[in-house]
Amino acid sequence: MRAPLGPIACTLVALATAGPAAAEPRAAAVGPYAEASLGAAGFLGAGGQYSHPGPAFAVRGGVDVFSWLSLGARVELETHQADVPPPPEGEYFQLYIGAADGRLGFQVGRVALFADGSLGLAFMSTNVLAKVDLVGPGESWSPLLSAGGGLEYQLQNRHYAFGLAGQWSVLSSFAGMQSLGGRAYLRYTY
Amino acid sequence: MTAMSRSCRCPARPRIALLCLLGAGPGACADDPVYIQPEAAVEVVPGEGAAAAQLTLPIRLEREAEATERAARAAELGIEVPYVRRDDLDLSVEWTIKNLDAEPGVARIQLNGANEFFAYVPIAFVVDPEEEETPPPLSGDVPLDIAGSSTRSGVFQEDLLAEASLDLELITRGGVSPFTALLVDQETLRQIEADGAVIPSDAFASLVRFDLTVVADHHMVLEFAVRVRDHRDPPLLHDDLTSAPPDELTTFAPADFAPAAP
Repeated sequence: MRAPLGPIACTLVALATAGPAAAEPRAAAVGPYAEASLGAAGFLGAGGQYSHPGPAFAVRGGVDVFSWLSLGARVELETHQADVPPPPEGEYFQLYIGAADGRLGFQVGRVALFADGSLGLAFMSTNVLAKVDLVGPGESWSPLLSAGGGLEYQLQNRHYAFGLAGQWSVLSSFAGMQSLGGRAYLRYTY
Repeated sequence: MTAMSRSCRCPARPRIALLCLLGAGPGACADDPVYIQPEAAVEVVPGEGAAAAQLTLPIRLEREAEATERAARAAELGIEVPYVRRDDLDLSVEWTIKNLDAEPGVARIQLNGANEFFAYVPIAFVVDPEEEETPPPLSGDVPLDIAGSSTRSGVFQEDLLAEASLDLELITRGGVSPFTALLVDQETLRQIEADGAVIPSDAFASLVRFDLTVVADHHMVLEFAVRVRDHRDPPLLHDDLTSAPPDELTTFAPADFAPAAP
């Protein structure tokens, strides 16, 4: 006897596509989260004159204290090509960042809007910018202050979201260098 | 393209940057380069034909444990063991030369220098200038055509300066003729025999002083920077580099090496 495959297949398709999510978005998960992002960052002013924009990679982790407030930390790495008057020429430097993060936001349907800020430390891998006095003698570390915002799209699975964000940062010990960055990210909330 | 050209070196930089970007982190990049610049450029004014500059690396004072270990190693080998060893530092010198005249000119950059024991001064090997040829410098001396009102850049790469450090050891503590030492590739040399003792490669001294001379037929200015990758833990370079207080830096007093009379 042949199994009634047609009705079964129709039922499976209906189960996969039906449900409240199709009519109204499911609430995003709230709790511990992890986030990975890839983007680009570039310096403004004198920093931009003597370096090129470069790729930026970051991971974040923390906890949603409320649905509208998250606290966490991030580790970030940027790579830039220096453009100081030669010599040296064509050199790269890295910026390693560790910071405490805070984020305020609200959700409208599947989309969340947020503003975030962070306070931490940045480490510059070389003194190549010392030639143009952006970095002092023996100076590798700087306090870092960042502020930004973005929007996030909640996926069907309530644990996952992806988003786009922008960020302004200032490195006070590196002659007050400022940077602007953008990133695309994937966020998982437990 | 000269042997000092930077074309072989640039491709390595993005790879290093990529390794760091891929999460190797600060630990993997602990020997990130540090750049040390002289206080002033080297200017060859018309009519003089040559100008020189000297730059000594800002090396911190030796720690007691390091001195003790070095003394023990020296006693074991029966030779002087340097504080700054060739394996501790990867050195390169990046340069840019500008021809300030409208006419094209030719320049040569001669790189000499010193380790903590001896300085190499080619003219010291010449007893009779009319009969003897001056030995070559440790590196460089390649004619560089520079168009009028233009700039040319290059680099003495890490492998060239590692060879220069070795050649200086061969010429001084090894007693080898500079012509032999400098014109033959010694890169694979693992030890130097000196007065019955053997200097193993881990006791080869590093260059700690750079003597750059520009010979030019027009008005030219040379700027250079020494790029150092410091592998010693803790690093040999002082944190404040050339801005460090003098009493926190090692004072090197290398002797100008003069060959024994025949």
